[in-house]
Amino acid sequence: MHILLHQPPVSFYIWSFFVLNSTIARICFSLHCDGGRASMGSTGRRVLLVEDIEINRMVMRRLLSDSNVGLEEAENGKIAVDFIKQGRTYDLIFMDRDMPVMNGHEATKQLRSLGVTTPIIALSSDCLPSDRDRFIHAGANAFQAKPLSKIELVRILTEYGLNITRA
Amino acid sequence: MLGLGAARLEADMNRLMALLFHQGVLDEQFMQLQQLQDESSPNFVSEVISIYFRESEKLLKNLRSLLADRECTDYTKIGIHLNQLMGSSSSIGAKRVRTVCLAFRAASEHSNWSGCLRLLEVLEHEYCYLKTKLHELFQMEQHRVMAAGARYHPALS
Repeated sequence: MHILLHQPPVSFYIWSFFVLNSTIARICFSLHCDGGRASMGSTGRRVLLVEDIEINRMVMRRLLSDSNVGLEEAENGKIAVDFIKQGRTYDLIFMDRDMPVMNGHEATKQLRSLGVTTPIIALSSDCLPSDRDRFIHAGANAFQAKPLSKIELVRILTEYGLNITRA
Repeated sequence: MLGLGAARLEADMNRLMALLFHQGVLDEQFMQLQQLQDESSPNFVSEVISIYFRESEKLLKNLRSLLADRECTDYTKIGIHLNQLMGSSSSIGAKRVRTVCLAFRAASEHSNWSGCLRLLEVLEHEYCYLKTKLHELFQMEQHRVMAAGARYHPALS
């Protein structure tokens, strides 16, 4: 039996409790700080959005609010890499290109070098072939033009096995 | 059933939206934004647009300041600010603002100071026009909601 307790974020912290079954209990604490933010879906599937622009994060949050997928957010590539180094895992990562501190190309390279096999979907408002090639070469699975529409998001979630809409 | 005042306001809103689409000020992404608004998130569009205005004004101010001294212009920083403005403008469907940003970015990549300055003026003008029109739209929406008590859903085909 899975029980997911979710508390709304207080300051920069959010605590998540996973209770697996009556004989084995495992409690995982997920600690967010420095621009991290999370909402947990009831299926336990998690998407990481790496995006510096607040509006874009708001839109993605809203787009995913109808799904059973939990969303975590990182404001730049370095925060995303730090999340992985903290032991967090995701079922899908959306990676923006241009970000302060660490851009999407570099973050993708570093995630792959850390052994992350999670599908990474690169996002960019430019669709130059050189941009796409650079991201794929860095280790992204696919490249998608921004802004992402609901239809495109559903297609991507379906392709990577995450499309479970709420009843 | 909508009262006469609310119906007229809705018609005015549809006309304004049609005009903004026809002028290329907004594109279908703005419609997508409106479709994300519902009873669970009734102020979504105005929240997003408010943040867009706030962030855009900071970026425009920074761009103005970066171009203040021809000899010391940091074109890399200009490019970064423009990418941010382009990204957020795309997300709300601000098509003309985004188009000007693209041209501005091309000028900055060539270190064309006078071109950048001219395009900054165009950008500021486009932004002001967008802001004025969106404010008009939101005011009409507020009045319409007061008249009819129901949220606006665009009838643009």
